[in-house]
Amino acid sequence: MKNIDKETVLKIIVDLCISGFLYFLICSNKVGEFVHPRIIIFIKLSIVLFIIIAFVLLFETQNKSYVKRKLNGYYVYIIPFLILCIFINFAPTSAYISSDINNIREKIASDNEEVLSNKKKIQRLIENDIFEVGEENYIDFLNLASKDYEAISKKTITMTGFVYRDNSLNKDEFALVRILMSCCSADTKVVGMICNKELDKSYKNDTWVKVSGRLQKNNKGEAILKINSIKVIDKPSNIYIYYH
Amino acid sequence: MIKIDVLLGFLDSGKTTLINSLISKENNEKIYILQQEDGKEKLNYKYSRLTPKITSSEIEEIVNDFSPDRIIIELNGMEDIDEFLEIFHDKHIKAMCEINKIITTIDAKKANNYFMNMAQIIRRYILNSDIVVLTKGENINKKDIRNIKNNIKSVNEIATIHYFNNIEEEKSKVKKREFYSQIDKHSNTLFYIMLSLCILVLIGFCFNLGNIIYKDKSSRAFLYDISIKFLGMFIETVPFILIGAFVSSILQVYISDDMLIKLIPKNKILSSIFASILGIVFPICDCGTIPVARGFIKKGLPINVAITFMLSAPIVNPIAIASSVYVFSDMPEIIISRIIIGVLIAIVVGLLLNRYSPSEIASDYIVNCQCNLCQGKILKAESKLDKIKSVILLSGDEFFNVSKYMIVGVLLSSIMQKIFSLDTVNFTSSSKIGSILIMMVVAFMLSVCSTSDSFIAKGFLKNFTKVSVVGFLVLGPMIDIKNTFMLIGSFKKEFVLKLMILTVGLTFLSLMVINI
Repeated sequence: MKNIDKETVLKIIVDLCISGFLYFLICSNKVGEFVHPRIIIFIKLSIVLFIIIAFVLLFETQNKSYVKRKLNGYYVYIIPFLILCIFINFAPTSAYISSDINNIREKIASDNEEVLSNKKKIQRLIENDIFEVGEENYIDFLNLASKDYEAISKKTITMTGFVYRDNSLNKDEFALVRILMSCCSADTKVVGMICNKELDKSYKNDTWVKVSGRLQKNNKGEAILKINSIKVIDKPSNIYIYYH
Repeated sequence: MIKIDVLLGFLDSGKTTLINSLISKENNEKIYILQQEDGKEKLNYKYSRLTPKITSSEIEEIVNDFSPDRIIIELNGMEDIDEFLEIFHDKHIKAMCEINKIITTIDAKKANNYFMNMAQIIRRYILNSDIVVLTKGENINKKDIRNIKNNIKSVNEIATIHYFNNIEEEKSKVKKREFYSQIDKHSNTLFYIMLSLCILVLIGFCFNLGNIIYKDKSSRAFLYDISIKFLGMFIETVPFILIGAFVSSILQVYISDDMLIKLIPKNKILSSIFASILGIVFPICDCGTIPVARGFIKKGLPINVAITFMLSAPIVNPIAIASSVYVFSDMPEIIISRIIIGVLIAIVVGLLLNRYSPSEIASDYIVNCQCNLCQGKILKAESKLDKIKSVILLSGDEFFNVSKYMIVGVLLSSIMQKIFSLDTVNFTSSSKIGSILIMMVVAFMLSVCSTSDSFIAKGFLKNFTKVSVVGFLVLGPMIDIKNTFMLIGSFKKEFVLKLMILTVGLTFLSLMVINI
C-alpha cells in the first residue's frame, strides 16, 4: 500500500461505482423513472467512458503524485448512493405526485393546459371508432379533448393510468392520472382525465386501471370521461409519458 | 512505539531554532536528537549526536542505547528525502518506530525566491511534509504571506502551515502544544470509508433503510420528493459533465495554440459574438458548459470567450430552442426575446469581465495547477496513443473537479425545488417590477435544465407578465443554484459574485427596458 496513490484509487472506486450505478439503472429499466429516454444514449456513452477512465487510471496508481490534495471532497460521492438506498424499490407511483398536492382537480386542469400545443389546428385524423390512448399519443389526446372536442366525443376512448382521489373531487368522480416528464424527474407534470364513475373502496390511490368510456362535458363545461368499463391492471414497467 | 519527527529545510532556515523550541517544551518525553549538519545556531542538548549519513543501524543503536520516546531528525538540506524515508520501510525499523511528523521550515523572506529558482527541491519538501513552518517572518506584508501560503497549498493542501513572526512567538506557540495538535488522519479514514462503500450499499438494501427510519408518512413523502428530484437531476447531469470534460480535454491535447489563434477572431467584440454562437456547435446542457469554459481558460483563451460561451451556450442550445418553439409557438416574441437578450447579456458580461487576468478569476487548479497532469508530459504528448491516454486522464480529472460541486448544488436545488415547489408558486405580484423580481428569484432557486424550462415557464404565464417570464427563461440557464456551486469550485469567490451581480443586474435592466 505504501507506493499507491490514494487519490487515484479513490477515483477508480468512484468511477466504477457511478458507472455501476448507471448500468444497474439501465439494466433494471429504472432509468426511465428518472430521465427522459433521449438521455439514455448519453448515459450509455458515459458508462463506457467511465470504465475507460478507470482502466487507464489503474496504470497510474503506482505513479507518485506531484501534489497532495485534500481528499475530503470525495465524501460527497456517498450522497447519491445513500439517497438511492433510501429510495429504491419502495416508492409508490403516487410518490411522483408531489406530496403537497391536495387539489388534484385543479392540478390536472392546469398541468394539462401547460402541455397543450399552441397550434390552432390538430392534424391527426381518427379513423377507427375506438380511440386507444397510449403513451405515444397521450398529448395528442389531451390536445383533441380540449380543442377538437367534437371530433372525438363520439368515439369510444380507452386509456390507462392510476386512480387518484381526494377531497376536490365529487363522490362519483376519480382522477385517472399519468405523470409526464419533459427532461428529468425534477420537472414532471401531473396529467390525466377526471372520470365519472363511483368507485368502491377497493380502488385505492395508486391502483393502475384500464378504462374505456366516452367524453362528456360536465356542468362546468370541462371534458370528463364517462366510464363504461374499468379493469385493474398491473403497474406498467414505465409509468411515465415523455415529451417527444 | 517511538515517534520520529523529521525536519527538512534549507540551510539557515531555522531548523535548529525550532528544535530548541520543541525540546524546551516542558514534558516528560525523552527526546533524542539526530543532526546531519551543524548550522549557525548551536544545539544545547545532552542527548544528541551529529552524523553525516543517517542509516537504519544508527537509529537502531539509538533506540537500544537510550530508548527515547521521540527522535527528532534534522536532515541536511541536500539530502534526498525519498531515499531517506526508505529507511523506515525496513521491517526491523518499522517494528520499533514510526514517522510521526515531517516538518519543513522555510525562511519566509526567501520563500518566493525558492519557489522561483529551486522549485523542484522546495516542492519535494512541501509535498512530503505534514507541517510547514514559515520562520523569520518579521516585516513581511500580509499579501506576501498569503501568496507564500497559496503556493504551499497548491502543492500540498493537507499540510498545516504555521507562520511565526519571530523566535519568541515561535517558542510560545510551540509551548502551547498547538504545534503537534493538528494531527491529520483524515485521508486515511476516508480511504477506508470509500472502500467500505460497497458494503454500506449492501446493508442499505438488506434493511431497506428508509422503510425503518421513516415510518412517518408525511416526512417520508417529503423525502421521496427530494430523492426523486435529486436522482433525476444527478443522473441527467453526470453524462453531460463527462462529455463536457472530454470536449475540454480534447481541446487541451489536440488543438494547438496556433490553431486557436487562427480560429478565434482577434477583435474582442467579434470573438465574443463567435463565442456566443459556439453553443450551437457544442450542444451541451448548462451543466456541461462549465468544464468546457474551464478548458478555455486553461488553454489561455481570452476571458470574454470563456464567459460568453458559458453563459450563452445553454440558451442557444438547439434542443432548448426546439422545446421553446413547441411551447410558445403562438408567442414567438418570447422565444426571440429570450435568445436575443440572453446572447446580448452573455456578450456584455464577457466583455466587462475581460479586464481581469486568468489568475485573478480562476482558482489555482486551473491556471496554476501543480498536479501530475498539468506539470507532466501529458499536455505535450507526442504519439497517438499517448495523446488518447492524456485525453482520458485529463477528462477524468476534470470530471471529478466539477462533479464534486455539482452534487452539492444538485442536492441543494432539489431541496429548494421542494420548498419552492413548482405547484405552490401561486403568489402573484400586481406591480411589473415585483413580477420580474419574483420570476428571477424563482429561476435561480429552481435550477431547471434549459431544455425543459419552457414547459415550466408556460405555467407561470397565468400569474405573471410575459416580460417576467422572459426573465425566468433568460436568467435560469445562466445562473442558478446548481451552477453557482460549480462556479465556486472553478473560480475565485469574488469573481463568481461579480459575475452573478452583473448577470442578474443586466437581465433586470434589459427587462425593464422592454417593459416600458
